[in-house]
Amino acid sequence: MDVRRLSRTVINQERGSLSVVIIGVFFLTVASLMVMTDVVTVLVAKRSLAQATEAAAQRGVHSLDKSAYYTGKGTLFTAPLAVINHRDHTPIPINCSRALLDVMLELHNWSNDDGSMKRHELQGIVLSDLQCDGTSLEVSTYAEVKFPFTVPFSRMDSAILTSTVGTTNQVQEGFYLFGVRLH
Amino acid sequence: MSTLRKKLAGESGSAIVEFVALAVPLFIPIFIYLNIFASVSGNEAIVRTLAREGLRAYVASDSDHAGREVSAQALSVIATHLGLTPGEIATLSARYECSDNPCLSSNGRIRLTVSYIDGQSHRTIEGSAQEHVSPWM
Repeated sequence: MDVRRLSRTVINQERGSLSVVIIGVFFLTVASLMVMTDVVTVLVAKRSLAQATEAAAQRGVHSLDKSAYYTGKGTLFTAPLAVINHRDHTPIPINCSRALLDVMLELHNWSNDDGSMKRHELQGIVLSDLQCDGTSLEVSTYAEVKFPFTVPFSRMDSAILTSTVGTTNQVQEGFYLFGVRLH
Repeated sequence: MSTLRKKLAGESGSAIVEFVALAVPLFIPIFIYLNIFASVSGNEAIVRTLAREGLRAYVASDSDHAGREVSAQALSVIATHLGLTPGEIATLSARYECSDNPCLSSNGRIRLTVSYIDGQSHRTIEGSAQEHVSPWM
């Protein structure tokens, strides 16, 4: 009976009540800080992944399909006529199988970088999809990002990030003579 | 003397003392961490953007010499727009690593490493980007 009365008295007292609130708020703040740190890490890693995917797409799109490109006739008369008529350039054909190889090589290069090119939290970059219609390229990648802190009240310590980049070639207008741009 | 003793024995204002004694030591490190973390994340984002855009400017230019010029100008302009201070811009450096000579050779590979010293923390911030030059330039 005495113990019950004592505990009731202690609970009803207001002394030290603020400490409980402050410590509670402190733990909540620390937990939210950990989540915030993870979120920012994901954002920075996402940028890094997008950068790697862009570089891979840029490399892949440069794979020219020569057999498709050098078809038709370009003569002394057709070139000035095309300029006079403002005829649009035909899209530059891409060698899709070569592009796939180049994209994979570039992603492998980025994945194995130990320097400041890729975020250290990013694990290996994996090519998930490559769409090539002969004139444009779409590269999709994913990578696992390790969180600096395990998300509080859960066992989540990593996330999967995805990135998709599309690109195409464009003819650079100008007057070239033996590969040298004169205008 | 007795008045002071009475005041000290009284409970009025004890909540403030309790708050200051407990909250300040607990929360100040959090604010310091937040400040440093925000600075590090911001700098990381800035240096990556600089490396990426500086390299794009280089690769998309007509010649090697023009590429260096355009890239340096792009870095300076972008750094200003991203909010770097003149002191930080003065410490901005760009290092080009190329697979071929000259750098802007067809089918070559260029890696640009940008670094600067953060004005607040005096840390060196570094970021890189890499790109392949078109074989048909």
